[in-house]
Amino acid sequence: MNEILQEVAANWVVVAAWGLVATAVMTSVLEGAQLFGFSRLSLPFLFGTFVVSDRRRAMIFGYLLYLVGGWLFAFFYALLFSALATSEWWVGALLGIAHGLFLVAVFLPTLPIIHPRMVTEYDAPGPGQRLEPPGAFGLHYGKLTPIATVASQTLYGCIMALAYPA
Amino acid sequence: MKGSDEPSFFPPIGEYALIGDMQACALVSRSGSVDWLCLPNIADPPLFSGVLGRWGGRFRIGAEGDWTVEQEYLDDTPILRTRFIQEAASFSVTDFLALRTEGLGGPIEPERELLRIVEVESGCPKVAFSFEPRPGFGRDPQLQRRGRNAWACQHRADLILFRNDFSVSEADDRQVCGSEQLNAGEKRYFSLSFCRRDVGAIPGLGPECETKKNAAHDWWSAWLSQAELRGRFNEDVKRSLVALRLLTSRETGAVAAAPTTSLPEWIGAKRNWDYRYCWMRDAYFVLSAFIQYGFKNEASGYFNWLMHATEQDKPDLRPVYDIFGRSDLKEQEVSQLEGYRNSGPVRIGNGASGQVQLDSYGSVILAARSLVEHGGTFGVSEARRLRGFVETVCRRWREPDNGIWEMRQGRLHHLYSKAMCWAALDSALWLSDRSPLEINRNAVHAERAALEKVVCVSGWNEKRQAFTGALGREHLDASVLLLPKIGIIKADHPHMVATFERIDAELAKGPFVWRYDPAIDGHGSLEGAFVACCFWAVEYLAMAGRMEEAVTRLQTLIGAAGDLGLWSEEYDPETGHMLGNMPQGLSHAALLHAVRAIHGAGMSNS
Repeated sequence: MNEILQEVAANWVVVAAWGLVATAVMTSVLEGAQLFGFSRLSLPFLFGTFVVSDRRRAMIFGYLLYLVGGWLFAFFYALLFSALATSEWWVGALLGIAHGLFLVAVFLPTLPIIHPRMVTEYDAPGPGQRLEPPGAFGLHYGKLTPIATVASQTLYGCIMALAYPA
Repeated sequence: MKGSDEPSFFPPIGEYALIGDMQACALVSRSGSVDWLCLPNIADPPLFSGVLGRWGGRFRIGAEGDWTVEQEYLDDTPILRTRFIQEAASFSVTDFLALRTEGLGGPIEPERELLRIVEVESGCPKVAFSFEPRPGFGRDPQLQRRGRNAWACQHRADLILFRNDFSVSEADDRQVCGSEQLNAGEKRYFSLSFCRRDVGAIPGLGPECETKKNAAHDWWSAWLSQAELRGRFNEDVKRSLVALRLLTSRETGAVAAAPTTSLPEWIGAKRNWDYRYCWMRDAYFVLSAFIQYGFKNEASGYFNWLMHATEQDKPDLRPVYDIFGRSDLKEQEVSQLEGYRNSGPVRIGNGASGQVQLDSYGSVILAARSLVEHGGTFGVSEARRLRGFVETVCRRWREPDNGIWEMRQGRLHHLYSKAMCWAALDSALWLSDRSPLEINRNAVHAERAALEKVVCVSGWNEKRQAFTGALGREHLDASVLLLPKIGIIKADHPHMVATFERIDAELAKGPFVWRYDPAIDGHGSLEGAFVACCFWAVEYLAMAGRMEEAVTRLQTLIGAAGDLGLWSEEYDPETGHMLGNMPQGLSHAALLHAVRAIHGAGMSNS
């Protein structure tokens, strides 16, 4: 275990830098899907509204939180690559797919329970709870939401795998 | 099932009320049906287009049976109250679009929201509703239930969410319907919200709707309180100002010509055009209407948009742009809808965007002059843009054009276009003394003099004893009634007096004035009297000092408008029906100018 941690620590610059790149690519894919009308999901906006209620500040905080989250996951991916002793691109892709599936199958459907500004029942929005819940697999945000989410996470995993010298 | 050309299915155009939030506009019929609503902006595809065809979709709240219906705007605001009255019962439906007065900084709200509040005043009426959205001109909405009383329609990147606290008796993927017997004092709420490319926001019902109604009422009341009114015709002035403001995008400052497309200029004919765009020819009339009545912010915002929209085409001008400044407005026909009372085709986009309309230059530079005359300013970059337009006028005024009426069968030397080119140069000379506008004054002087000769000498037709519509042509054109207004000739000049009399004899029925003989434009059908021309005639009379005639005409015209004081593009005095797109910004701007002309001549309180 110590060796794995030491390997990641030795490569922290690579992980931090490429974690930023991978997060940027992942965000661009998700936001691009939004702009092209494939999905209305905006994870930065959902993260931001955890903290504040107005849209403008939510987007700023959301992007910051999303960036920090992307960086932290970069170290987690690096740990896995070191543990598996491989960082082939397809390994990264598989990790990304698993990560994406977790997001759409577990995280998004659970969000109404933990998000302070998300409606849990459609017929009961309150003054503080306004956000539309994602529904199963995030399908309320558009039919292509699961695909866009998994695709962006897959790209993230691929980039991390290609960058990390395991 | 009734045929879709049945009058009951298509109420008279003039009976529609307008509500909006300064980005989106809806038409509400006297029977409580929202028959037109484009989201999120005025020129986007409609969610309801029932006014243009059976399959266009509607959102109706009403009651079966015979009811006396009254409609009014609450305190002059665009909050509409439709009252259904019987001896034993009465109820009202209050319709409005919520305003996001706090912008992005406020609580999480949907991008747009139409609210409808049902309130029983007396008795126990059975109220019914039907919600039939058809996004994108009659397409299937594929409604999905979301919870107990909510339905969602996901169309491309749009979320349309329908919520209510009413009894729903029937719902499928195309419609939601219901009816309920209500008791006196009971209220029910309907919310139709919209989000594009964003996580949806779910608005609340009940007290929250009341709060939004009060907020909209307060905003509009505060806005109207800025109006500089002078007494007579105030109600009509306020209605026109609100109509113009509803057509003004709060996002860009652009003013659309009308909120609708393809409402026919003659029933059964093909004079159907998309007016959800911004015409340069309207710039002067709209901007100066705003600024004359005290609305400097709207005038400045509109001028800024004019300068932004014309960036790509400088130093030339396209006749028409959308509210975001795009001029590629390809004209297409919508096959799914048969048109208002079978008056197809339904068109989107506008082919006029490729025309040459030289009067547009005069309109834009006159708008700049109007702004400066009323204390506004513009900077060096705007001055450079205006100088480019002045140089274009000097270079191109000898060319024929399609004219203000957008003649499609060829270009002529339209007299109004030449006169507006004169106005462009005259205003440029005026502005060059009072603004950063720098021009070659000698050259502009010379071109202005040449234009004056062309208009006042060559434009006069001895045989017709009138200024005719185009050089060397004999047809009359009511746009020349504006020559005194732009200052190229006095209103009491014998030639102008003779022209008015000729137009009054040949193009008018009472106060209703046609823009020209419909036979000349090649569309092969009749059309209605052009409302703006009716008010231009009033303004001409006021300028000529014929005040009694002007006031009498104006009173008759105002009496012809519907209860709500809205004007479409045209009017058929034979049937008393409005024609063309509804409401029309130019019609309302012309009304405002006519009233101001009468006030200016000292008839404000008589």
